[in-house]
Amino acid sequence: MKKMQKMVRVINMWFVTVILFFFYLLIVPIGRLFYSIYSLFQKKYVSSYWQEPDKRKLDFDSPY
Amino acid sequence: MYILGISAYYHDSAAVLVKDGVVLCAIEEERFTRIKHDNSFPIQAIEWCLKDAKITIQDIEIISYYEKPLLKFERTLDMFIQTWPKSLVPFVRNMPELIGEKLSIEDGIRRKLKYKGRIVFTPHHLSHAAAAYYSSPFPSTAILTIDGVGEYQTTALWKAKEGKIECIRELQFPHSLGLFYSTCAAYLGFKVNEDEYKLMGLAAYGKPIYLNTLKKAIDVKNDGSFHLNLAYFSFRESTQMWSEKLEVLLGKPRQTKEKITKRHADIAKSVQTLTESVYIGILNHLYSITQEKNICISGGVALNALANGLIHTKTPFRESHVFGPAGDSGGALGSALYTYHSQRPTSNDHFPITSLSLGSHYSDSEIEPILKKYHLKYKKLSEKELIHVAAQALNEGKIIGWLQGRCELGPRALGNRSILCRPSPKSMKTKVNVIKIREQFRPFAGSILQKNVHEYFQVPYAHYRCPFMNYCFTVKKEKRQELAAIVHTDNTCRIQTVSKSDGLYFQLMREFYKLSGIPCLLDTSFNLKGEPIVETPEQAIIDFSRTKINSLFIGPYHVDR
Repeated sequence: MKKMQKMVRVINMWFVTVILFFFYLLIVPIGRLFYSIYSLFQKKYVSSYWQEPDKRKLDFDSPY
Repeated sequence: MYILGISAYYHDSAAVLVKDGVVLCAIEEERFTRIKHDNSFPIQAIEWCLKDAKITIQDIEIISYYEKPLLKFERTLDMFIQTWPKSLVPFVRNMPELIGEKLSIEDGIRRKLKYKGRIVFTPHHLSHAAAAYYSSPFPSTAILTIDGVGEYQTTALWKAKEGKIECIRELQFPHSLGLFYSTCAAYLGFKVNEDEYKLMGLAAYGKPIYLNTLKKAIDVKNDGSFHLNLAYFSFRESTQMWSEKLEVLLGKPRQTKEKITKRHADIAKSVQTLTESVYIGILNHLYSITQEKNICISGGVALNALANGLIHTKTPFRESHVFGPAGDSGGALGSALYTYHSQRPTSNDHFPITSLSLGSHYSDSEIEPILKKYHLKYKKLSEKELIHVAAQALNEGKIIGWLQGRCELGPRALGNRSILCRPSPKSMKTKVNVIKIREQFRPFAGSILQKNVHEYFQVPYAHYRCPFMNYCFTVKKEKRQELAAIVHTDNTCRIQTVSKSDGLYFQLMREFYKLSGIPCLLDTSFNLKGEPIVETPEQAIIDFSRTKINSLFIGPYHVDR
């Protein structure tokens, strides 16, 4: 029984991994498509790319 | 208060020692290791600085590192995630290095230097801004920092007043003018972070016929801000910086040893023109938001002398200061100075840097044994004799090696580690290019007496001062023959103004002027292809013996063949 449970768990893990992989294969190109559309939008409608700098107080002693 | 500024691990590692706000000494690690743009931890540079100041590491109150390594690591990880799975190969290749020494900087410094004091980290672009501002003569100024990338910033606009620096606007990675220029330099077969100036030199031979085509790769707004069209660039996920789409746009990239054609020159000119227009656009926007009459500039892109030469004609800024060591070695200096000023928030101390001669120097007793070791024919001269003999040699058309005083910080030789000759006839350029094993299309810079600069160059005003050789100006038509060896194809020349404060070099130029009637010299760095600038007398002697330099002047010694 325990062996059966372990086998089911392994199969489940692989199943989830494969599903996630195909999901990733689908999501990444969709994500990139949205980014391309967004970039075109920026190019046409945004008048400035300047950003506000990080206003947090500088922590000298931190390497972060 | 002693503060040690350090830059390391990316390119141009350096150490800078500051005492009470004054830079005592500074030197790049490459001068010791003889590896150009060496990025290793600058242990030799640090040891030299301590020895020169006659102190030990225990006397250092604060060590100031020129960037925030963990923030930079975060940006690198972001970059890999955004470009996954294309970034798999660079991720696997770079991670061991990234999570090694580059992450544990503090531990590394303490271990290597046996240091127990305070270590601080200043953001990369802030280090550049501080280097530009605190080295300038301006109490109040606008500042532009612009390079490949620091942590996240690639371009930042600042204002500074009464010792305080404040960031106003920024652009972030991957949208970087420095990376745009480097990508195009790599596309034309030049080395990244090393040979960008070759693209600048090549531009003079072309026409900007690819300008409109290139505008597809970078979207520039009216306020100077820009975004790269990342479809044309692959520097985030690949060792090749450009994508196939750029090859479709511009044609086949040039291989390193491939002959340079008109097409390559046209691409270079288009890139240079576009870069200049973005650069000037940013400066104009900075002026509009700060209304400051002064501008300070630093960061790798500030080494673009052609763009700097346009500041006074294309922007409303009246005075400009482009920091000489504008790259990462200057970041070490800026980091140390910013740290000093942050410890004295109410102080108005400001010590402008008028000379970059901050490095090592050699006494007569150190030079002479080397001359004997190499069995050279030499003569020790008084200062007056040295000046006269050297000026005479220059007037006769000889090419001389000149090693005097302290070596300069930054990529330029400003009269202390130089190869010098008269600025005409044109054949002098060919001769020196052969000596230095350089491509013939590359121009040489000139040194000119400051009081004569407006007679020869189209500078903003009489006695204009640009002592760090980082501006190009057009040579006046009637003077082009006189300066034929340093006038580039587009009639510009990168110049260094020389004044009395330049000591022996000024005296040499003045003597040459008396003999020849020309207040100008061809001045190029004393090094051969692939080497850093010579540091020691021995290195100068080795280069002298390997080339057709006619004679050598090291300290008070004149070495002849």
